[in-house]
This record gives sequence, C-alpha cells and structure tokens, in this order.
Amino acid sequence: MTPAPLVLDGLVVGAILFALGLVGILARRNLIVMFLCAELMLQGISVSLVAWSRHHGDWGGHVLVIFVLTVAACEAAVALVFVLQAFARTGRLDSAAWQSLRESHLPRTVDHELPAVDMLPLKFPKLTPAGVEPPVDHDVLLEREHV
Amino acid sequence: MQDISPATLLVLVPLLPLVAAILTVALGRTLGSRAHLPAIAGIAASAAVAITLLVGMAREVGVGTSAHDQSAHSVKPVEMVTTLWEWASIPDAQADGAATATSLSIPVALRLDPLTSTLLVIITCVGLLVAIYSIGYMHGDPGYPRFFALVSMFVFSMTMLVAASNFLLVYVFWEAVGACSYLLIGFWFTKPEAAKAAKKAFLVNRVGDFGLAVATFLLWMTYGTLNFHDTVLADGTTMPGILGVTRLADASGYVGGAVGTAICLLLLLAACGKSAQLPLHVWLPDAMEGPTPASALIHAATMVTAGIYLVARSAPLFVACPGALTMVSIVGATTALVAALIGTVQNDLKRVLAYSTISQLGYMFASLGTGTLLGFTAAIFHLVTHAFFKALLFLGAGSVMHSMGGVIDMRRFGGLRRIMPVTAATFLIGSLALAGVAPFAGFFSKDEILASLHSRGWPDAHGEHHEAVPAGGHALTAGSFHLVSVTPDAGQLAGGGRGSRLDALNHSSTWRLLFWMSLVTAGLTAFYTFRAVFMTFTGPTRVPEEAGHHAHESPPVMTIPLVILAIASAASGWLLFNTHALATFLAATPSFTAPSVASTATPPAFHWDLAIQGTLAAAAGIVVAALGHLGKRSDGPQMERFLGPLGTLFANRFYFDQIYAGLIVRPLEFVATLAAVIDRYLIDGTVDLVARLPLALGAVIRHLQSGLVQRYALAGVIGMLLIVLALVARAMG
Amino acid sequence: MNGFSPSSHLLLTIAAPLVGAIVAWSLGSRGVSAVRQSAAVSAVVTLGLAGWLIVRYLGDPAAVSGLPFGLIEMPWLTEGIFDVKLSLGLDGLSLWMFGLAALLSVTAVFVSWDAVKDRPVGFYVLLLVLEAAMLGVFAARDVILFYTCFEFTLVPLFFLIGIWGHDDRRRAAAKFFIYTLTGSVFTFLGLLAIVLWNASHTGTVTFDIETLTDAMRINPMPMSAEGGWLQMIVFLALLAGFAVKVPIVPFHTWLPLAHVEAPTGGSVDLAGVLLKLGIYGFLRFSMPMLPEATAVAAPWLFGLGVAGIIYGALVALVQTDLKRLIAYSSVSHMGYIVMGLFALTPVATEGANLQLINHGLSSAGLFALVGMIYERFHTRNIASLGGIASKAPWLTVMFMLFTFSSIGLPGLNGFVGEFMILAGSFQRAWSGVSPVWQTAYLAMSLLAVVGVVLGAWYMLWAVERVFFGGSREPPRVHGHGAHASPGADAGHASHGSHGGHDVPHDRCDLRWHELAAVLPLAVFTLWIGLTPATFLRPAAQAVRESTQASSEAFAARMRLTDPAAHVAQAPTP
Repeated sequence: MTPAPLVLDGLVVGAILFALGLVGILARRNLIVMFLCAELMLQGISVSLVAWSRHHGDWGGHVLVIFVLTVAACEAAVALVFVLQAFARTGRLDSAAWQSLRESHLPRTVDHELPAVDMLPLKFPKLTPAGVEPPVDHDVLLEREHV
Repeated sequence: MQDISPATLLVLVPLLPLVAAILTVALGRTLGSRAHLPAIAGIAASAAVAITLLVGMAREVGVGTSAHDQSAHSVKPVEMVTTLWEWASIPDAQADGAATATSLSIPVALRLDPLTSTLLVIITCVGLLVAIYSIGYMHGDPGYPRFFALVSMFVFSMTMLVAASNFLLVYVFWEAVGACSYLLIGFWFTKPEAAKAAKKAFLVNRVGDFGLAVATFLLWMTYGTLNFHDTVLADGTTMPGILGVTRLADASGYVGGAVGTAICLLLLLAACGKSAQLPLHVWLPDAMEGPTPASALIHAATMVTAGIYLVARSAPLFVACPGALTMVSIVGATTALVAALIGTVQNDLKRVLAYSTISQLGYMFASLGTGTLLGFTAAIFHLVTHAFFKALLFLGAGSVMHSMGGVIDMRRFGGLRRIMPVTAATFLIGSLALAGVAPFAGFFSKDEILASLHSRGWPDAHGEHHEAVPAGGHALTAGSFHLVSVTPDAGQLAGGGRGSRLDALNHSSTWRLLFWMSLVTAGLTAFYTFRAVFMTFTGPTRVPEEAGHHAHESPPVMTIPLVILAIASAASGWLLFNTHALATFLAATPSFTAPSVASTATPPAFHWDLAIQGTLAAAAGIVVAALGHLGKRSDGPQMERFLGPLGTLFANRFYFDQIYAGLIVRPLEFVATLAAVIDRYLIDGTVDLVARLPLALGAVIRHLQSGLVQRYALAGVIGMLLIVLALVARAMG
Repeated sequence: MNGFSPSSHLLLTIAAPLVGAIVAWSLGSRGVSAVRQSAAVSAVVTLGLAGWLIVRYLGDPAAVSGLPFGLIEMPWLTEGIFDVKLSLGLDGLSLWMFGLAALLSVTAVFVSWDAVKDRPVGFYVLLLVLEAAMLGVFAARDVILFYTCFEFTLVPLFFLIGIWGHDDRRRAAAKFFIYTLTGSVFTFLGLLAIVLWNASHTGTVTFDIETLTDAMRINPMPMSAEGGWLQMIVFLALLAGFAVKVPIVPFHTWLPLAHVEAPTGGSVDLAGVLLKLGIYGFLRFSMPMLPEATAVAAPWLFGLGVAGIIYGALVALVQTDLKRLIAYSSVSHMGYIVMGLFALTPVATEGANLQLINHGLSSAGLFALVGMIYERFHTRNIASLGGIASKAPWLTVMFMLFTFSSIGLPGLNGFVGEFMILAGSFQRAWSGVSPVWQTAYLAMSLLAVVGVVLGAWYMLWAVERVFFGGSREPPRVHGHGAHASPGADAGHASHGSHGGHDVPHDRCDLRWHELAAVLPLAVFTLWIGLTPATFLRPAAQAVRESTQASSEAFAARMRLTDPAAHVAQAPTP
C-alpha cells in the first residue's frame, strides 16, 4: 500500500509546529505569547490529525480538527479573559508573577536578571470611576490570602 | 426410699444446696435475718440424702457382714454413674492422621462409689453444722444472705467435685470451689487485707489449676477420654474410662514413664495448690481473713481436702509411677514438718489452726504417697477425722473471736475457760484429737498413717510384724509381704519398662526419713496445739478491751454444733478403726481395686510399737507446751525467744512470701513494665513512625512545588519525553 | 406467619436498624429521649427478629445440615463477564456472630442512654447504621458485599470515636481508621486476586464466596517457586487486613487507644463484634481458599497467638486505666482465638469459633460496666477508684461475673472456649508432628496455659483495687462516709454500717437501662457455660468444612517436611 501523498509532510509540519509551540511555552513568560504558543501546539496537532486522516483515508481527523478549531476559538476567548484579568490585577504579563500556589514554606522565586519593565505610567482605558479608587496593595492581592 | 432411684438421690445431693443458693439470692432481701433458712434446709436435706446413699452403698459393699472374710483380691469395685446431659461433644475430633483416635465427648456425669459417698457425707454434715453455727456467728452482718448463698454454693460445688465422673468436671468444680473460696475469703471486701488474701488465694490456686488443666490435656491425649467410668459408645463398643472397670482390670492399663510421671506430678501440683502444700501453701494462712465459719468449712474440713481426693481418686495413675508417688510423700511430709514448725510461733489462733491444717494435709499426702491400700485408706480416714476435729477447732476459735469482739491474738487472752466453758471443753477435745492422744479420733488415723509410712521404710520388719497377726482367711500369705509386693513395680506396670528419673527417690531410706519427719511433726503438732490451748484457756483471766462488757459464752446455736463435732472427734476414730468399716468400705472404690493397689492390702492391725512412738511424741509436745504456757500469762514466755534465729525463721514463715515476691512477683512486674514500655515506644512507636514516613517523603517532594507554571510544564514535558523514549526504545528492540 | 420466608426475614432484620436510623433522624427535633427511645426500639426489634431468625434456623433441618439459610440473591452488577450479586444468607459460621451483633447493639444503645447528651441524633443514627453494617458483613455471601460492609463498619465507628469520644479522640479515630483501612486495602487486593484467579480458569468473574471456595478447591493457587508462591502472597495480603482487625500482636496498638477514647457504646461494638471480623475473615476466606499457605503460616500464627496471650496479659498487668486494661485483656484473649484457629484441630477451631462469641459477650460486658463506672465517678484510673462493691453491689456482681467469664472460670462461657482451644493445641502437639514441632507446640501450649494464670492475675488485681477495699474518692457521690470500719472482722462490729438501703447507695447502683444492657449478656454467659453443646452443634459442621482443607494441608506438609517419619505419638496403653 502506497502511502497517501502529503501525509509525511503534514506530520513533519505538525511536529515542527508542536515543537515550536512547546519551546515557546516553556521558554517565554509573557502570558499572551505563551497562549499563542499553546495555540501553535494545538494547531500542530491539528495538522498531524489531518495528515493521519489522509493516511487512513477517512474524514475522522478532518472532522475532529473542525471541532478542535471551534473549541479552540472558545478556549481562546476564555483564556484571553484570564490573561486580561491577570494583567488587570498585577499590571504584568509575566507568568512568574503568579506563584501563590507554591508550598507555603518556600520563598518566592525571584529572578534577578529580569529586565526591568517599564511599568509606569499605566494608562488603561477605564470607565469613569464611580468614586475614589481605593489604594490597592499589590502584594496582598498577589498572595490572594484574603480573596 | 424404695421408689426413688439412687441416681435421683445422687443428683439431689448437689441440687438441693444449689436450689438453696438460688433461693437465697432471689429472696435474700425479703428473708432478711431469716436468710439462713433455705441454706440450712437445703444442706440438711442434702446431708440426709447423702447419709441414705452412704448406707445404701455400705450395704452393697457389704460392710459389717463379711468384712473380715474378704480377701483383698476379691474386692469388687462398686460404682454407679448417672449421666445428666452432654456438656460438649466433638465427634471424631481426630486431627488428620493423629496418633490417637480421640473424640472429645464430655458428659455431665455423676458417680457414686465408696470414696464419693464418704466425702459427700462429710461435706454435707460439716456444711450443715457450720451453717447452723453461722446463724449465730454471722448474726447481724450486712452480708448475711450473701454468706449463706455462698456457703450453699460452696456445698453444691464441693459435692459436685467429689461426685463428678470425669476429669473435666473435676476441673470445673475444682475452680468453682476456688471461686467460692475467693468470694468467702473476700467476704468482708471493705477490708483491704481480705481482698488481698482472696486474690492471693485465687492466684495461687490458679497455679495449681494450671497443673490440673495440663494434666487433663495430657490424660486426654494419652487415654483418649476424660471419663472415670467406662462408657458404652453408640456403636456398642465400650470405651474404657481412665478409672473404669475395664482399665482397672488390666494390669498394664496405666502409662508410666515420662508421660505418666508428668501427669502425676501435674496432678500433684494441682493438689498442692488446692490443699495448700509446699510450695503453694502460702494462700491458706492469709485466707483466715474470711469469716471463721467459712474457714472451718472450706479451709479446714472440705475444700482443702480436694487435693487428697484427687490423688486418691487417681491412685492407679500414681501407682504406675513410683517416682511421682514418692514425690507425693516427700511433699506431704515436708509440708507437714515445715507447717508445724511455723505453727509453733504463731500468735494468731486462727493462723495456728491454718498451719495445723496445712500440716495435717501434709500427713495425708505423705500417707497417699506410700501407694499402698493402707496408705490410701489411712489418708481418707485422717481426712474424715480431721474434718471433724479441725472444723471443731475452727468453730471454737470462731466462738472465742465472737465473744472477744473480733480479737484473735492469743497473747491477749487468758483463762477463757471460765468465761466460755463449753467452747473450752470442746476445744480441748478437738486439741486432743489433733494432737493424736488416744482414744480420740486423730490418734487412730495418725497411727495408720505412720504405719503406712513405716511399712515402706522397713518392709521386712513390717512383714514380720504381720506374721504375728492372725490373718484370717485372706489369700495372701503373710510371707509374701516383701519389698516387691508392697512396692508397686514400675517396670511391670508402666507397659514398656520405662521408668523416670524420679524413681530413684523410691528407696527405703527415703521412706525412713519421711517416717521420722512425720513422727517429729506429731510431737510438734501436740506442742503448738496445746500451746494454743494453754495460752487461750488457762492462766489468769484476760479479756481484750474490744470485747467490752459482753464477753460471754456463745449462744446455743453456736455451741451445739461444737458439741456435736466434739462427740464426732472423740468417737469417730475409735469407731471407724475398731470396726474397720471405713477401710473395708473404701477398698471397694474402683480406684483402689486396681490390682496394683489392691495387691498391697494388709490385714487390719493395730501397731502397738507405732502407737507408743506416736503417743510419746504427742506427750512430749504437750509437756513442753505445758512447761512453757500452762497457767502463765499468755503474753509471757515467747517461743521465738527460746528458738533464737530459728524462731525468726519460723515467725517469718520461712520467708516464703518474700521469696515469691522476689523471685516471681517482682520480676514479672518488671517484665510487665518492660512490655508496656516496649508496647508504647517500640511497637506503637514503629506504627507512628510508619505513619510519619509519607510526611517525611512529602517534605522532600514539596520543594518541587514552586508555584511556577513553567516548571510544572517542563516536568510534564520531561515526563512525556521519557515515556516517548521508552516507547521508542521498546519499539527499536 | 409461615408465609414469612426466611429470605425476607433476613432482609428485614438487616434493614430494621436502617429504618430505625431514619426514624431516629426524623425524630431529631423532638429531643434526646425521643431519639434514644426510637433507637432502643429499633435495636430491640432487630434483636427480636435476629433471635427469631436463629430459632428458625435451628429448626430447619436443611440449614443445620449445612445449607445456607434465608438465601437472597439479587443481581447487582451482572453486565458482561461480571457477576456481582447482592447475595445474603446465614450459615453455621455466621449464625452466632449475626446474633451477637444484634445483641450487642442493644447493649450499645442502652449504655449510651445517659452518657450521650451531645448531638444524640447523630450518635444513635450512626450506631444503628453500624449495626446494619455488622449484620450485613456476617450475612454477606458475595465478596463485594462482604468487603463493602467490612469497610463500612469503619465509617460509623470513626465518627463515633471522633465526635463522641474522650480527650484524645481525634487522634484515636484517625489512627484506628487509617491503620485498619491500610490493612484491609491489601485484603481487598487479595480478594480480587482470588476472584481473578478464578476468572482466569473459568472465564466468569464471579464474586460469590461459595462458588469461589469450591473453585479454589479445584484450581488451587500455586504454592511453589514456579508459581511464584502466589498462594502465599495472596494469603499474606488477606492476613494484612485480618491481622490488624483481630488484632494479632504486634499490630494491636490501635486497639487500646481506640477503646480508651471511644464512647462506651462504640467500645461495646468494637470489642464485641468488629474484632471478630478478622477471625471471621480467616474462617471464611483464608482457610478454605488458601489451605496450603494457611498450613505454612499456621505454626507462626499459632506462635503469634501465644505471644499475644502472654504479651497482652503482661501489658495489662501494669495498666493504670481500667478501660485500657480491659483493652489489653482483649488483645490477650484474641490471642487465644488466633491460637485455637491455627492449631487446626477440630476441637481447637470449634473452640475458637465459640470463643468469638464468648469474648464478645464478656469484653462487651466489661466495657459497658467500665463505662457505667466512668459515668458515676468520672475517672477510670484504677488507683483513684475503690470500694465500689459497697456502693453498687449489683454493678459489682455483674462485673465479677464478666471477670470470671473472662478469666475462664468453669460454668461460665469463657472456660468452654479456652478449654477447647487449649485441649486442641495439646492435641496438635500429639498429632503426628515431628519431635521438634511437638516440643515447640507443647511449649507454646504450656505458655498459653500460663496465660490463664496471668489473666486471673490482672483481672483480679483490678477487681480488688476497684471494687474492694475501703471506699475511695467518689467525687460526685456523697456516700455519707458510712462505710465499714477496717478491722471489722467479727461480723457484728460492722453492724448496719453499709445497710444497703441508704438512698445514695441505691442511686449509685445499676439503673434499669444499664441492667437491660448487661443482663442479656450475663444470661448468655451462663447459658453457654452450662450447655455449650447447644451453641457448638450448629456451628460445628461449618467450622469443620472451612478448616478441613487447611488441616489436611497441614498434615500433608508435616509429613513432607519430616520424611524420617519419626512421628511422635502418644503412648497408647
């Protein structure tokens, strides 16, 4: 049985996409980039699904990919909300800013060579405040102990 | 009485006191100060039935008709067994290729034979007298109903013990009388000493029970049954009982050697526990914390003789093991001597009597150990007379206590004969009987015991001695009384000729030593008895202040039993000896008809030489006691002072309690503490340690929980890569 | 009433406490007395049903001959190859334990009558649920059902100890739960292994215990190096759970802690029934299904039993807490049962089976009475108690009765079991084992008899200190100070000093519900002691069947290891 055309190519492309995404998600700390990398991995899988679908000569893989695309769209929406919320809380998109689930007795991981992010001034579009904004204690917010 | 079968009567003997006990418990509150009624009625009826049975049994044996004509070998065993219900039954309990085909079948069976019927009469009659006496003695005690319930319960247990027809039932009631004894010693439980004494009695008895339990198991393994009597199985075959007619007729029916000796020594251990023999005698003196009537009934007349009964009942087993038999005598004679020595320096009247009981029981054991028919019957004879005079002495002591406000220290008494003449007179009769002064009961029974020991120490002399006696028409010629026929031969009986190392003890020099020990004991007995008499009843009148102004003779309800017992103590010895009724009667007991026992029968004889020796010893004892104490203040000359360091030894009871405390109790408590520490720290510590292991492991692993998403992701990726690699490696080869 | 089939009778008996639990729950708003009355009614009704069931069992010739009685089989998970059934039924092994569980539940309810004031609804509901689980475990004829009930007994007791216990209750509950659960997880694996082994041979995944027993007889698990010692491994897995449950020394340390901290009702059930589950498991699973492994392990477990007897007795000897002392006496007594079970002679195993009931009665009675003492004097410290006998004579009588039963006084039930166990152990020493084994067995049996002496020692010591002597330290009961003056030897010196009619004395003695708690136990204590055959006979057949395979395997092994055939035999005259 001769292999169907483009199967191997599809698999290779899928693998490359997956690997890129993997490296990205491990190496990058920007939440949005990480999210994009995750999407990249997902699409890598989708490509290889299409390839296997060709290999088997049925439409199962294709159908599944359509499903994945649909679900991924929803997922992207949800995930972006989380990212936005996270940014709204800390003003940072660094995933390492979120460490509160570590064991209680461990110290906070701090990387010293973290490039200084120009955080100021923060200008975000916001609704007209209905009153005076209360001062926010960021550390307390981060630890979420009182939330 | 014709329409009631003996079996029914036999059941009635224990049943009536049991019913009485239950009634007393149920109606105790209602009856109040009349709570003695069920007990007295029950025990009295029981005594009447027991006497009826004894008479019937005597008629069957033929006592009095042809007693002198019967030859030793033609004695037919007389017994009657009635089975009530099956206690437990494990048919075909044979374990996989077991060597012995054993089915455990325990019937609740009662038996009646001369030995049993004799003891039943003693138990119920003494029980009745004690119960009547207790009406006066226990009057007004808050535990009045409880006392009579316990006494009835005891009479029930004790009659069952002697009527039981298998070793298991014997064990059952062996412990039951122990429990009654425990409850009666601890009757005044608010007294810490009484509670302690009760516990001690039970525990020391438990050590003896250990022997009986193991002996029972060994008997079961060896003989395949525990029944005394032959049982007819469902398939029509007869299973020979341990003491049944079938096995008794078989000359090699009993196991000797190591197993037989082990069984006998374990039975002896049991007997030592119950009958307060060395080394388990320590509980009896302490048991005097109980009410005096209970002491008289249980710790003098009946329960403590259970050991004698057990050994006598198992006579064929013992005769098959001469070594063990000799041990019985050695234990007995040693106990007799040691207890008599301790008795000489006691100042507590009840304790003197307690040591005297131990000593007299030792006599009985010494006699049993001779292994001759004479020895066995002499022991039972002494048991009977001792039951009378020792119960009398105890009740007399109780009477003294009763009127002296609970004081029992002889040094604080004096001249009480003026205050309580009846008590003094009866006590004197009891003392004369105990001291072995002719013609009182103790003289005759002690004489027989000495004779049985003498016959083993000097078999040849004894044989010659018998030649002089006209020997009627009995089968054995006098000349056949040489060593072999008197001494049961191990090799012949043990079936296989295996002896045990103990057999080396069975030597005539041993017996001579034992004889001399017994003779010395006789002198000591007379001494301490009369020391007590003189200290208490003679000299200037002294009454302890506890008695207050009501120092008086006890009421008739207490003195009448004393008088009856005094008459029995005075007359029973001569009556029973002169007619040879008891010996002839007992010879028909199945256990004593074993060829090995029956062949040692000797014609009834009165041994003048021994009687003179015994009387001289007693007289010496009385004279010394009189020199020391007669007519003097009772707190005057103290024996200990004369004895010096020996006195200290005696007064401290040869340091037995201390030795036990040091050798057994303390080490055991140490081991127990050690075990508790090990339990707490080693075993439970290990468990807790195991419980902490997951925590410790967690403490290591929790460092990986950094809270950084990417580290988690990395770990996941590495894990997945490893899996992929493993799969690849597997696929590659 | 003849239309009332045994099956529905059995089901009703098990369901009755659950119904009672729902009723008690729904009455929660009506206060303590309504709740406890409803609990008592349902416990008594259950006992009545169970008693009647037992009477019917004994009257049924088929049941007595060994067939299961009141069989119920309902499919539960019978998809595909699975065959799990809700299968219930009584046989000789479970009959008396079933009755005991019902009896002790009544005791447990009545001893808690005044003791539990805090959240009574939860307490009684849990007690009744526990009863249902105990009844279920003995009636179960299906592995899954058995194991479910086996484990489910832990849950109510965990809460009973953890909520209504004494000071250190949380730790005790956790330790009890985790320790026994850890053991029984292995038991479950072992049971699964048996099921799967059977499945691999017959193709159906059945969980029916009887089927499995038969199947294991036809296709025994390998007991050799080639087979990977599978049988031994499975035996050890089962042992892990059962040994903790019994408990066999050295897996016993949860027991004293749990008992000391448990409320009285919980102690009664724990000592009376739950400890027996381990032995029941041995009889139900290990011995008939894994005979060769049992034969190999028997001498060691026998030895552990003896070690338990001595060890438990020694530790009990130095306890200062009365309840802890009785807990250690339980360890000692369970040692007898283990010893008897693994002596593998009919006399010993039947004795062990009977001793399960005996110990259930006596230890439950003792725990109940200790609870009553605690209620009165608020201490269980032996040193600070004393002279209770003059204040509470009936309590003392009951305590003495159970003490005597516990130390094996003849005429009471404890003696029967102990005697049979010891006799059977001695029989084992003479049953054709090699001289070395004979000596070992003889020595161990003798040690066990020594344990009888020690048992009397610690129990009587405690009795002496707690009940006898002058009255000490009753902080709550004001006894007028009128007690017999020490030295009142001659009877009338103590005239009327403790007349027994003083009001506080009467109040101190047993109340009606306390009498209701212990009197039934006392009745059975005497009944079994006097006519043990009544109780031995129905169980004999079943016990023999379940131990026969192991017994034969043991004999075969003894012959195998002793080719010289120098077999020690009792001298036959």
